[in-house]
Amino acid sequence: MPITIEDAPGRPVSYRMASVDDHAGEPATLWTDRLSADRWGDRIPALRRDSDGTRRWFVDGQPVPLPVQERWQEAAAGELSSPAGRLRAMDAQGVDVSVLYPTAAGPAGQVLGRITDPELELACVRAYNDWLVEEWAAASPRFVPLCLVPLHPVEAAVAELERAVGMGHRGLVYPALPTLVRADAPELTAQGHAALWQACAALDIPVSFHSGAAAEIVAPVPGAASPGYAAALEAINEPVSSALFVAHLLLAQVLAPHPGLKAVFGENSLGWMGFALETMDYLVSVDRLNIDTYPVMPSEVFARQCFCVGSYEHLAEVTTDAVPLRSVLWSTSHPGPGSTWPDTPVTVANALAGVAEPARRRVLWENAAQLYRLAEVVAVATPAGGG
Amino acid sequence: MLLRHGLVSADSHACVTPDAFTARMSRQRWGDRIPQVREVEQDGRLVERWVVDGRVMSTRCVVNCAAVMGDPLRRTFAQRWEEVPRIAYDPLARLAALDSDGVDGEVLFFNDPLDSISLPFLADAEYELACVQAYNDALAEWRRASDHYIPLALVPYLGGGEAAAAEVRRAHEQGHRGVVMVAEPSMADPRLPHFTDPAWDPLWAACQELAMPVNWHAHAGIRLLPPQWQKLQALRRTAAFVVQPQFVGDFLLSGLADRFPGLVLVCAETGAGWLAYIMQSADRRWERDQMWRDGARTRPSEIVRRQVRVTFWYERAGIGMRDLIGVDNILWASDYPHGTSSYPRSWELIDKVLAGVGDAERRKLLCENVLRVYGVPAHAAAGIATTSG
Repeated sequence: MPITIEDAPGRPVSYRMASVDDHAGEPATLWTDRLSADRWGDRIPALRRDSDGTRRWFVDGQPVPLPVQERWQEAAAGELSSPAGRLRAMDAQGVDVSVLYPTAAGPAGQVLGRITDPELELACVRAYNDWLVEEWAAASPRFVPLCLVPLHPVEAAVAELERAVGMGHRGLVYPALPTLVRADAPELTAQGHAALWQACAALDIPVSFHSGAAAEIVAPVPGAASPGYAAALEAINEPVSSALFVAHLLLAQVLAPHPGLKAVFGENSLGWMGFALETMDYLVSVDRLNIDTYPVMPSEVFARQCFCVGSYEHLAEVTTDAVPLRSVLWSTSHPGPGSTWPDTPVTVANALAGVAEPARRRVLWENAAQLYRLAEVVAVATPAGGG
Repeated sequence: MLLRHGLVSADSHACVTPDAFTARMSRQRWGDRIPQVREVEQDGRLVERWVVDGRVMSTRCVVNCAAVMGDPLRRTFAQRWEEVPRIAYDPLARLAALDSDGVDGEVLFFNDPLDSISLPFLADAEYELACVQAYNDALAEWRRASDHYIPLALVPYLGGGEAAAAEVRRAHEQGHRGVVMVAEPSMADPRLPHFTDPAWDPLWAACQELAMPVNWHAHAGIRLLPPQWQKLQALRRTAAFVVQPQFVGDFLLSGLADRFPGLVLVCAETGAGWLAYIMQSADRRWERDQMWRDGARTRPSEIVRRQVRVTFWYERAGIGMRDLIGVDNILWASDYPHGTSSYPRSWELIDKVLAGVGDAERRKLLCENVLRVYGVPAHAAAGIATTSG
């Protein structure tokens, strides 16, 4: 029998599922409520009427790209937009814990990352981090907040990370392609970001590189495509476009020098990862051009430090030697283009058909519980009949 | 094709000789625009390079054949044509080298001056067609030299669907058994229609009628890599290998595959395991959006099993997923003579990658599938356990 979930800290959860990649929908007044209008005026992120009359997010005076806008419409609508409503829906969907990414700020925080004024960027990031803890994490320990940091300079990023973690944030959301977010952002390297990666490792804070934050690496949809067809291609192609930045992180050895750093590839899916890892290993070995400079093979760094996220793929069919169960997390992806809401239970049942109970528990709960130290905030009950 | 080893590569690279275009295109008409090998100065020394329409095509070498340059580290590239070994460009000398590696035959893609299909020819329609025809004629010579070669033709884009179809028919007459294309013409050149635009239907009709598979190769002419990453070689290569998955969804869901259910798409030099992801994500979206109501009649994973083929050489992931992808749809490849090739130890790698795979499935993966996909008749030499085509 599943155990009823209670909201109070210390009450047991039932092991059903930790969804590691959901998105809270920022309210329209998040930034206008928290930033000084006198100081920042129209540069504050806010909903405004676009020239064609539609309501749209503007950040630092610039319109936010449409895909982000559409995701926000979905996330901010209806019952799922409030913590209380989301908890009820989580109960109905069999989700115990939900790890929260931004939506209007961009799934990888890239919308705020485009702000070139470091003071405005920091003010917006802090407002977001404050809001997510005060409104969501404080409402229930079943919400796990992930923070944003300014892209530049790295000292400001470290300072905000430490402040946010002190408030209760349990992970960092960062764009995998900062130079595509903002031309003057530093390239993602081990050296340029060393202070940030060291801080993450020291604080035991995983960094999430979410898919879909850079249109440049996603195949463009046909010009004549309907919005529905475009959304379908986006749902298929955005996750696998992550292969490009996963390859960059592993081949440019961004992660390897920081063995304590954990990386989560949000909304990236599972099935292509084994192929991608074997490709990296093979190319490093066969060419010999760089092999002396790879003391640890890309697939080993992945197994040691990285996590990919499934939500509907048939686990038994797509896991390979290169993608061990300990590297797999699960999510509902609300409200992404591939979201399993509102059919999560049946989707999970199909996806995990034929998977034995220990493996099931591992990908649905234990990996996430360990990664986000969930035992510190929610007590875990032994599942009925489980072991 | 007489099979002595039971191993045929679905992805190898023919090397056309320096006279391939100059001997076949009118100097009076095209002058120095003709693709040719020319001496150029690079970093203060004289080297030879392919020059197409006035552009030097490579800074690295005259022909990419790093696997046969005698350097086990594969860091040596031919700077002058005289350095290129015969086993790269001479069809019969090359067959002997393949035989020593236990390989019976090859599907032939391009090599320099074409890194990404025929894009260097995309200037004007007449020039493009002249170059494409010269290339197809030159490569057809390989098939005349030996039936162990399965050549793939280039298609012209700028003349429209009918002109492309006409060249496919001409190439088929010459012995070509498939065509190589850019994954998305409209990304290669904004003048061109989208891949699934009905403007290309005459081309697909010709390919379907003649059983000529459409082949995408590695990055298939598409760059999605941020430019600042190009300097890291292993990354540049990996990036090239992970482009094609993003173009298969459109093939499956646009209705194109239903309009031409006999049109086969081969995804070459891009691995296999990712196809499992595309099948499951496309199926999920197709069900969720009820896309059969908008023209995508057939379940995407069924289209994959009917019409999409992938290649492998180093990858266990795709082999582990063969029940899902379909063991009939995965083709072994050597990438000869490029730096990533399994040559000259192809069977060592095969035994590692196919460990635990039964004999019947091995035969499919190593030669039966490729012969069937390209419609090549074959018979086995005495003592070789493979089926005849």
